Amino acid sequence: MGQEQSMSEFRKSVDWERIYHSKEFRRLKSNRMRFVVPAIIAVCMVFLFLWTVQSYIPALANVQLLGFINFSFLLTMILFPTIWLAGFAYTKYVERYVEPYEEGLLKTYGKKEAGHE
Amino acid sequence: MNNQVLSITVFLVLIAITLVITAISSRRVKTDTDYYAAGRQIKPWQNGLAIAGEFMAAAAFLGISGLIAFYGIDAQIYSICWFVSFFVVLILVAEIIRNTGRFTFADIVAYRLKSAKIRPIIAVSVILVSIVYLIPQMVAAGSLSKLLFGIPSSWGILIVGALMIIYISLGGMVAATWIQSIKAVLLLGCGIALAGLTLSFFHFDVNELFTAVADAPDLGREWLEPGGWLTNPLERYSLGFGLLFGTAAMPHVIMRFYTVATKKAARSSALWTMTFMGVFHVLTFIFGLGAAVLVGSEVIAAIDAGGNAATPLLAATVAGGADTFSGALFMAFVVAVAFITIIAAVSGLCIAASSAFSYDFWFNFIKKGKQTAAEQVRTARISAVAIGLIAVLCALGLQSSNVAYLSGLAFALASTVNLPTIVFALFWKGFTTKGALIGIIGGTLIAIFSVVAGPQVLGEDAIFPLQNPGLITIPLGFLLTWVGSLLTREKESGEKYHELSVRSQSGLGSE
Repeated sequence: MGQEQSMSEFRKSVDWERIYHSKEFRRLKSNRMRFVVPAIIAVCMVFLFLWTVQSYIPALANVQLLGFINFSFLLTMILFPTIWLAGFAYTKYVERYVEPYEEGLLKTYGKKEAGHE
Repeated sequence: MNNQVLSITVFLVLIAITLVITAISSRRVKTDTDYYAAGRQIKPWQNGLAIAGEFMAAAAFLGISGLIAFYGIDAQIYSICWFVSFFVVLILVAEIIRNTGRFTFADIVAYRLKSAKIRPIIAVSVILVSIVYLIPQMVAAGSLSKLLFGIPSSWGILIVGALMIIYISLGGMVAATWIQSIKAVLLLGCGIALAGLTLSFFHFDVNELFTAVADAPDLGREWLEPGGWLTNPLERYSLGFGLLFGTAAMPHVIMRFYTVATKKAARSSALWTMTFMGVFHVLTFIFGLGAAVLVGSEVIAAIDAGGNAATPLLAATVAGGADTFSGALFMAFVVAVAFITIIAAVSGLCIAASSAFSYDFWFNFIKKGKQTAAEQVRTARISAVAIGLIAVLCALGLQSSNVAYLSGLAFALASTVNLPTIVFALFWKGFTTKGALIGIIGGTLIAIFSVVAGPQVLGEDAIFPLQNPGLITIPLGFLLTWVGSLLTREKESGEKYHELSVRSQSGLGSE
């Protein structure tokens, strides 16, 4: 309860609008979005392609590439490691291009803040 | 020893282990943070395991295999979309949710909007989603108990309900996490063993399995080609997008990101989830195609027309046959693990629903945030018992009806109602309380209509054309919330947007 109250007081004491418009925050946000937006678009495009091929282009979906293993199945299976690698890449990207700005903000504004490493 | 007696014995041993864990974890539950968020002490890998457990449920272990055995490879869409949905969760919501809320996603929305108006309605929405999802799970548990253990389905529902109430009312999120983690480990072990044993019949060559499917007189090449199950292309897009983006809005998934200590741990949890889910879901096609070839769809259908017996029968076959001890033991183990998966899944839903009532509705709305930690835990425990009893009574009442459509309704509700609310609260300055209310109420009505008037309920007389309504209902949910917000103004919400944006992106001021 005590920690909750001090957090609430801390939040009231911070000039959020100033931080929002600060250079560090804008950089932090744009760096994160630089990964997130293309990644979401890429995921949507890949799945739109996969489902379109499966639904409307059976000649391509059913092309046998390895014995009876066809294009549609292979593409689906390749997505497992590819998307995992994209997730792993995101965590490394955030560590390199987002966290330094987060730490800068926390150092400048978040001395009383709890729950961070 | 009779197969069913063996299944019951293995099941009882596993239940005894989980009850011991619940007894231990109940001693650790002293504050609201302990109950709702496991004291934020869960390690990222364990949280990842628990979240993955939610999506390695009976639907995945039994359902996908059955669909593949009956209709071919199409049902793989569930595996790949659930897996990729956690990439969306990782990059879009995991950290942001951890940075901004306390125990439930209503915290985020209520902070920006008028809490007194928005929190109770979100609580109702979460309880509705959770109970609607709980009922088919419990009815399925009843049917499975009849099929697998040879006991009446009412007993199965009562057993699952009683265990769920014990776990959640005593151990809260700690117990739910441990049960889900244990189940996930068992399921992963079981899945890897089953896939290995199945592939051993084909010299560990996937292509040989495919050749066997193509050459089987009652199967053929079409089993390996898309279109056997999802015959309407629009259903494929709708189901796929619903699964990809709906997961991020499921309340029991969101809650789990509050159980870790930091935003980095939340991020790490999501990557662990992808790891465990990837390992399991990459194997589901082997269970389905293996069952189709080695067991045969007619044999599976003779035992259960829904296909749920495909995996247990495959287990018995690949371990030496149902009449051998090894075959019977492996089948018993698979059956017991499948039943544990249902108990773990309903426990996660129960804590989501009871938290919505006790924390969002009772503590924040009725008591205006004035309750001691002990009182909050007591309310949460009473809520868990009440939610559990409601779910058991509904499941008992509906056990003879086909309630499969309720799972679709729960997913439609979560993605149509919760997703726009979370996205707009975090990313759009113009979001208003009235817009949110219009979106939540309108989205709920649209989701209910799309399922009740859809092919799952009305069959050929359906007014709504799709079995999986996400393609239409999710954009409508966004549209309603957006238009509702454009037509109204709320200065405070705009001002708080800056704070929520900074907090969500940086973690400044998070708990």
